[in-house]
Amino acid sequence: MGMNKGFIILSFILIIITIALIIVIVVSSFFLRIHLVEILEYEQRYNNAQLGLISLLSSTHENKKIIEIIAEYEAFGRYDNIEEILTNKISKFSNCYSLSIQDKTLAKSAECEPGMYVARVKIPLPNGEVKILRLVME
Amino acid sequence: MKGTGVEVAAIAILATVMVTGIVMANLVYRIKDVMMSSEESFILEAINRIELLKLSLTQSLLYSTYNSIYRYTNSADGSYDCISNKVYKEMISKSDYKEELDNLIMEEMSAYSEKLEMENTTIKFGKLKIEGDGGLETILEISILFDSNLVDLEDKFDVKSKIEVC
Repeated sequence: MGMNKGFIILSFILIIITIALIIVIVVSSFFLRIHLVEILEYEQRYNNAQLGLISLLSSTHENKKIIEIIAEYEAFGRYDNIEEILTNKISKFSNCYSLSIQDKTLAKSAECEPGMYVARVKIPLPNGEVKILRLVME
Repeated sequence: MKGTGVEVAAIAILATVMVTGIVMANLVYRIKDVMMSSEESFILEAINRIELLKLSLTQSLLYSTYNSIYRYTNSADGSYDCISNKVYKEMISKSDYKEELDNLIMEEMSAYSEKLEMENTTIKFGKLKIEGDGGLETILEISILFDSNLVDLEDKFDVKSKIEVC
C-alpha cells in the first residue's frame, strides 16, 4: 500500500515537472522569437537608413551632388532653399524622416516624428572641417 | 495501482523528453536562420559604411585639390566651382607644380581622413596622379579597411576630381 502511494506521488511530481517544463520552453521560445524578430527588424531598418543616406548624398541637383550642396550650405551659407531641395529628394524614399547636420535640422517630414533608425556620416566642408550628418527614418 | 503509477511516470518522462526535443530542434533551426540573417546585416552595414566613406573621400579630394591650388598660388580663398584663368596660368607657369601640388594635396587629404575615420575603419592612400590639360584632374588610389569582430572587408578604388577653369 505504501509502495503504491509512493508511485502515485512520484507520478504526480513527474507530471507537474513535465507541465512546468513545457510551460517554460513554450514561454521562453515565444520571448526569444519576439526578441530575435525585433533585432532583425532593427538591423534591417538601420541598413535602410544607411541606404537612404547613400542615395541622398549621391543624387544631384542642377549638376551638383547633394553632399556638395550640404557642405557649401554649412560652410558658406549658400542655398536658401536647401530644405526644399532635400525634401524633394528624401520624400522619394521616405515619408517620415529628419535630416540634421550637427544639431541643426536641414529637413523634416511635416506630420511625423521619425523613430530610432539612424544613419550617420561625416561630411567634409571646403574649409577643412568635418561635420556629422544624421538621417533619422521611420 | 502500482502498475498505473509506473506507467503514468514513464509516459510523463517520455512526454517531457519528446516535447523538449521538438522545441529545442525548432529553436536551433530558427537560431541558425537568424544568425545567417544577422551576418548578412553586418556585411550590409560594412558595405554601406564603406560606400558612405567613399562619398566623403571623393568630396575631400575635390576640396583638397582646390585648397592646394589656392595655397600653391597664394590666392585668397576662391571659388569651389572652378578656378580662374589667372590662377590656372600662374599655377602651370611653374615647372614643378605637379610635384608641389602632390605634396599639398596629400597633406590636405591626410587631415581630412583623420577626421573622417570611423569606428572599425582604416583609410590608406596610394599614388596620386595629377593630369593637367585645360584644367586639372586628380586621381587618388584609396584603400578602406573595415575590420570588426564579425566582418572583415577591404575595398581598393580610385577617387577622381576634376577642376575646371572659368
